[in-house]
Order: sequence, then C-alpha cells, then structure tokens
Amino acid sequence: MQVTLAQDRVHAGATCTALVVLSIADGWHINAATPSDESLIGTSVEVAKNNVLDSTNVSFPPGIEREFGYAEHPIEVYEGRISIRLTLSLSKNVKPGEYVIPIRVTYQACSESVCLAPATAAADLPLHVVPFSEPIR
Amino acid sequence: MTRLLLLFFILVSVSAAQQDSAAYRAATALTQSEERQRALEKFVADYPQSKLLPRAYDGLFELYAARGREADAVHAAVGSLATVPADARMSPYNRFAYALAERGFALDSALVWIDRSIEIAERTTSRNLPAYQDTKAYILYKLGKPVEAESLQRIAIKGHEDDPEFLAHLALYERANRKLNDALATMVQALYHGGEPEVKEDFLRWLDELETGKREEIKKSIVLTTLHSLTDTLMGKRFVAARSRCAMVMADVGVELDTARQWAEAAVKTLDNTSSLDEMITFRQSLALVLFAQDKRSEALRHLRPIENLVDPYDARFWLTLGQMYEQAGDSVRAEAAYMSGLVARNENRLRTALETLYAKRRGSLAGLDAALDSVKRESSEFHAGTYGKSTTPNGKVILAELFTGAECGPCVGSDLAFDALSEYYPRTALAIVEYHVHIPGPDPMTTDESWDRYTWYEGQGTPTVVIDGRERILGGGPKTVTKNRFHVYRYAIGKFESEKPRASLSLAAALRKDTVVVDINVHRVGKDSLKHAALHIALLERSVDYTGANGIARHAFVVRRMFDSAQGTPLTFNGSAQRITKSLSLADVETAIRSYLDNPTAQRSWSYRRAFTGWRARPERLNRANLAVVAWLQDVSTKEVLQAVYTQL
Repeated sequence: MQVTLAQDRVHAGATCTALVVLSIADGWHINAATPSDESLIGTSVEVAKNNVLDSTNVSFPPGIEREFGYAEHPIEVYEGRISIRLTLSLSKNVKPGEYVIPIRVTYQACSESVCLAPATAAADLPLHVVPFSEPIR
Repeated sequence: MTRLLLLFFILVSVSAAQQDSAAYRAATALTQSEERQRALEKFVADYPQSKLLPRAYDGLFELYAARGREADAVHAAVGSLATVPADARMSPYNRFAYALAERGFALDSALVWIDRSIEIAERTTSRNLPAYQDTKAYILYKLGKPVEAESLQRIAIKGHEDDPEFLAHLALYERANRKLNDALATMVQALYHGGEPEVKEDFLRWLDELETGKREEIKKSIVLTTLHSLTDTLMGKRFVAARSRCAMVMADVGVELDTARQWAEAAVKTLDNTSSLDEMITFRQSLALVLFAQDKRSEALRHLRPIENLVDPYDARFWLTLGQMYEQAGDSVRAEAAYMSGLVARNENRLRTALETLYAKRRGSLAGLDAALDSVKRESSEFHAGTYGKSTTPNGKVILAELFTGAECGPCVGSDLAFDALSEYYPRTALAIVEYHVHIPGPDPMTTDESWDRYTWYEGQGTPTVVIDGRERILGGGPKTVTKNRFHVYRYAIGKFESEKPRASLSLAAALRKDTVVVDINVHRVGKDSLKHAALHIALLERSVDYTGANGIARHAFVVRRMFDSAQGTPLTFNGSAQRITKSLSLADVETAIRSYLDNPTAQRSWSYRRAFTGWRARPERLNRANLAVVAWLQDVSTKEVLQAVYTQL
C-alpha cells in the first residue's frame, strides 16, 4: 500500500488530493467498498484523528463484478492495482510544519479457493504545510 | 425546506445511479458484439458522470480492438484514462499501452503512455516499475527498435529472473538482434520456470531458423547447458525436484529423453510418506510426460491415473495436458473427462475450447455439452464416498482431522462437504474429526476464542485450512464441485499416517450427568517414549448445528463448542507410565459463555479486525444435549504431531 499526495506541499485552509494505492496480487481480490452482499466486508479507509484536517472525503473506484463458483450472485471486487482518492481539507489554523497523518485501509481478500482474515494495512501520509508566501507545486 | 430539497437531491442521485447501473448491466449482458458496442456507446453518451464510465470505455476498447478499429480503440482508451485522476493513471496507462502494443496499434501513443507510467512509478518508488519497463521494452520492439528493447529488458528483469513472461520477452528481443542461440537458451529458462505452452511453440518454431544439419545438435547443447546451469548448484531434495522439472522441459522439447527419464524416475523413487502432495503430483507428471514423449503412452498414462483424483481442479495446465495425452493415445472418452475435470471449478478458456473441439468432432455438434458438464459437476459434488471397510487403522492409530472453516466463507463449501464425506467413509475409531469456526471472511456465530487460538497456533493462512494429525496442512477449497477432489486429497494425507503406531494409548469415558459433561481419560506411554512435550486436548463438539451463513451450508458438523482447559490443553507430567485425568464441564456454563460471546463478539480476542458489528443472522446458542460428542487427543506441542486421538458420543 502506498499513500501519496498530489502536490509537494500544502497551505493551511486549502484542499488537496491524496491517493491510496493498493496492489492486489494476481489471483486474489478484495471486496469493493460497497459489495453487493452486506455480509461481505467492504474495503474501507480510515484517516486517524488529527488537528490538521477539517474533513476528509474518500472516493472509491467502482468495483468489478466477478462470478465465483462458490457464490450465487456476482460479487463486486477490486483486483490488480487500485487507487482510492482522498480529498483533504486542511484546517485554517494549522501552523506551517511537517505533519504525518496515519491512514489505515481495512480489506478482506479471497482467491477462488481461499479466504483470508480481514486485515488492515497502514501507511503514513506526510503533509508539508508551508506559509502562504511559499508557492505550491 | 432545505431538508426537503436535500432529500429530493439524494433521491434523484440514487435513482440516477440505479438507472446507469441497470443500463450498464443490460449493455454488457448482450452477447452480440455489435449490439454490445452500440449499447456501450449509448451508455457513454447518456451517463457521462457515471462511476461505471471507465468500465464502459474499457469494454468499448476491447470491442474496437478486436475488430481492428484502431482510432476508435485509442479514443476509448483516452476516454477511460480521462475518468481517472492524473496521478492514479500509472496502472491504466500501462494496461492500455501493453494492449495497444500487443495489437500493433498506435504505438506512438502507447510509448507516451508507458513513459508516463514509468515517470509516476519512479517518482513514487513503485514496485511495479519493472513491469512498466517490460511493457516499454515490448513497445520499442514493436516499433522496430530491438536493441533498445533488449537493453531495457535486461534492466527490467533484475529481480524477476524466474518470471517466464519477462524471460520470453527478453528472448524475443535477443532473436530480433540476431542472437538466436541466446534467445533459445532464454526460452529454455522460461520453460523451466513454467512458461505457457506458447513459449514451447515459439522455441520449436525458432529452431527451424537453425541450419538443418546442425539443428538437433545445437538444440541439445543449448537445452542441456541451460538446464545444468539452473540446477547444478542445488543440493538434496531441491536438486531432485529441479531435475524432475528439467525432465519435463526435455520431454517438452524432445531432448535426451533417456536422461530425462532417468531424472524423472529418480524423483519418483524418492516419494514416500514424507513427500508432499505437490511433489507426488509433479514428479509423476514429469515421468509421464517423458514416457509419453518416448511413445510409451500406456505406461505414461498408468503413472497419471493414481493422481487424477488428487490434482487441483484449478490446475488448468495439468488437465489440458492430460486431455491432450489421452487424445493422442486415441482415448477420446478419457480425454473429454480430463477436460471436464478442469472445468468443474471454473470456466477456463483453453480447456473449454479443447473440450468443445473434441466434443464437436465426436458428435458433430455441441448439443448436450453443457448438460454433460453439469452432470460431471454434480458427480463431483454429490458422489458416494464409500466406506473404509475396517473399524480401525492397521495399528490402532486414530488420526485427527481438523478443519478451520467459516459459515461466510464461499471457498469453504467444498472442504466442509468433503469432511462430511470423510465422516461417512471412516469410522470414528479410525478418524476423529473436529471443525473449528472462525470469523473468516465474515462473522460466524459458532466461533469461539479457543477455535481462533488453535487457528493462530497452526499459523493459519486462511480458510478453509485442514490439518491432518497436526502435521499435514492443506490450504484451500472451492465451490461444492471440488468436494470429490478435496475428499481424495484429505484421504491421501490421512493415508500417510494411518499405518503408524500410536505413540501413546488413550482411553476416554464421557458421560452427561446432571447437565454436566464428565470425562475420564487414561493416558499410557507406549514403550520408552517420554512424551515430554505432550499436552492433552479435550473438545466438546456438537455433531450438527443448524445455521445458514452466506456460503449456503445449512448444517455444520462436528462443531467445536468448547475446549476443556483452553486451546493450550493440559500439559502431562508422568510420574509412572500412566496418567489419569478427570474433567467436567457444565453445559449451562458453556451456553452462558456462548451467549456472552454472541452478545459482545467485538470484545473477544477472536474478533480480529476493526469493523462495526451489525448483528448475527441467527444465534445458535443452545446445545442439543442429544447431539454432543467429545474428542480428546494427545499432541506434541513442539512438533505439533498428534500422538493419538479418541472420539466418543455422549
């Protein structure tokens, strides 16, 4: 799992985009964010509580419908490499400096023959908040 | 008023989302490609904001590409890429770039896109960088720049030297650079590392470019030199396995078949009770391929028949090879059966094509094919297991079969049903069965903390996991159509231990007195075995629990409801040659513990993940007193070997 910010630095009060990229091994899938069956554990993203962000909006990619021999109906899943988009609104009061926002992704993986326990992957999103006098690239 | 407007907006959004989803499903359900194309084009025009837009564009890309409409395919790819944020396009750029290169379309666009993938990958230190370099090398080759392609591929392949796809690409560029011998050697490496049948076909075709008189001699030299370089430094079991794999390659390309046979036979001779199922299958398969290449067809097939029941239904390559061998031997009936065996768990294109071709050749049409396949699938899931035919194993060992499963686990179905078949086949005086439920993939109300503790003690890697006698771990199941295969695989594992002598004698008396289970166990040492690390485990089972989870299994067998003295069991401290242990367990207490668990599952250690609990489908919290059993087993806690087991019904 990788988390990257679309820009090198940010201003207080600004909105920026970060991407959470998940690489799913060949032959495996994880449930999409809103799988068709409510008993399935959907992929979710949790941004740790912090004083830097006012809000975070998470936008998941659409899943792919796959048919499995063991399921009556197609299941919406993620395969391969997927990117989850986070829209981050920085607090107006945040001071310039280096911040780290912990991100956790909970997912549940299966192949055609095995299911794994739900798991959580964690990564840190570094945020470099600079004064308004410094430009953003 | 604001609330009403918001509600209206939400309702309109939901309705639009449902409409686009329905339109997309309807479009993709069309079987005629032209109709599907028109429907997807309409979808793209009608729902430009839909979340399904990238999938619609992807579908259009495939349809246009298949019909050679280059400009439209590129347009669809651009449409798909535009739906993805710029920094998330690394993988889609690569996907479209490779797809275009494969078809020789718009190679300049492909090159621009793959350069963008590489730029993002380098910037984000992505582990996928070699894959993107591999794509770029392929595009360069297609652009007529094989020198640059080879140079880049040599960088990409670092760390992927055993990846047959990377190797096959490298060979392609070497050949284009007029280094045919190097290319052939690289192809041999690709074959050794499991390259697809196309690799073999290319290798044999490229040989034709060699001078006719020297062809065989050069082929032999390249194959043997390459295989020796890959295996000569290996030792022991790894060397034997590597030589067996070499024999397969030699059979494939027709080199030194006598030597190949020696190597393959040497591997088969090492097979014994300690051999893994995988070794048993691959060594025999290798020998069969060599014998077949030597035209000893019946001998070859004789080696394959014992493993036909054991090979994974998902191993399409095995079933394809077996079917082809039967076809070449003139046995169409068995060839069809082989292809069908590979299709019971999933629809694999190559197998389906092979089956359809043979079926149509024999009958003149495909009429009845799907019904025949359905019949094979039914037979694979609803078969008669037969019976063991004896009341005990030869030396009185009672084997312990443990299954870790989950009512929400789709792939557990095949294993659950195979365990039902095992329970029919073996008497409990030969095989003791326990089934632990765990919350994988979703919440399962038959889970206990002790079940989870056993799972983690065995370092469980997913469900279904089967452990036979503490020593043989078998991961994986599938739909109900793999039941017969799983049954045979488990039987094979049980067979490895059933002739052993038990390392301890274990007797169990269990009774239900005033709603309390009382067990009286006697352990006797056998011979001089110190049983230094032995622990006694006792499990209370419910022989069947009615509960339907997402996987559709309605009745669960041999469910572990409680373990006496936790999952760690009771360590034994022998003073003499025997030890007597008496334990009791109140069923009311067990039910209270189950209720408490079901009331607050997220507080239990077996609830291993962060997720809101939304309730149970049902609460199987009552124990059926008429349906209980106790299993006790003695297990070496350091090696995990089960020394003896015993089962009794209450």
